[in-house]
Amino acid sequence: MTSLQALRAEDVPYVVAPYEADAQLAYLERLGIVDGIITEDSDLLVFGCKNVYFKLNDVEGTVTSISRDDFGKMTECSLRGWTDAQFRAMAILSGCDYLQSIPGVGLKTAWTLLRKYRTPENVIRALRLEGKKSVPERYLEAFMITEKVFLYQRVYDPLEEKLVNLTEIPPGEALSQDHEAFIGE
Amino acid sequence: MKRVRLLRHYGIHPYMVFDGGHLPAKRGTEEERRHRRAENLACANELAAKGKHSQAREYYSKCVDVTPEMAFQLIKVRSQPASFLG
Repeated sequence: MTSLQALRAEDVPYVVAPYEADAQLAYLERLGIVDGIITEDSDLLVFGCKNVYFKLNDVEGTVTSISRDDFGKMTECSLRGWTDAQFRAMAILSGCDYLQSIPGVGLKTAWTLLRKYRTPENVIRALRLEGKKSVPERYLEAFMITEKVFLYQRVYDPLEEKLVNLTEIPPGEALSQDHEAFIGE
Repeated sequence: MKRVRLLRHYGIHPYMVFDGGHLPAKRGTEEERRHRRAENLACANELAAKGKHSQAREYYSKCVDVTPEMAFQLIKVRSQPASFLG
């Protein structure tokens, strides 16, 4: 029996995402169809999910719960007052599935740089000026596209039964055809 | 399914989400994976040629690419329309 047949046999609701499960899960949580997400993929937090459960262990009966609302309470690498956009920028700068990091930039460095320079544009400019790390050519452009993938990737709306963008594209922000292709057609 | 039953036992209603098509933005990652799969396949064939079948099997399982088409075929075989809301 395939896994989907098994799910149907036991009446478990499911959906195959048009593209990535990550974005689809984020959308389901946003619609209120699910209350939380069980996964092993930290990208879910970057997609804006609020309640994520990692390392579900059905033998020990344990799970690690990460809530966005708790971000401000971290003592090391405080995220107090950080916007979703800054958190997303930190994740992208430190390297994600869609874009490799600038060599030598991990999570901690990305956090430090964003704390100091606030926006990714400023961070990249400062790194170039400093000249210690080699920032790839057109890195900022790649960064912007990556950000759009996290924001606007195409997902399925099970209530309206149609394809939508994870976040509605604001009227002022027309996407180029290149960008459209990147977030899924 | 064991996990699904466990969650249900504790009053949690699971809603499963699967990956669909390749996103062009992930091309880099996909290429890396394709490369890794090719390497695993070569390794598996080599082991199989030497008669080390159980070891070869391990590598063969690592070179399988679950394509969106496979997922689509699975959806097509469903006997009744699945309710996405459950």
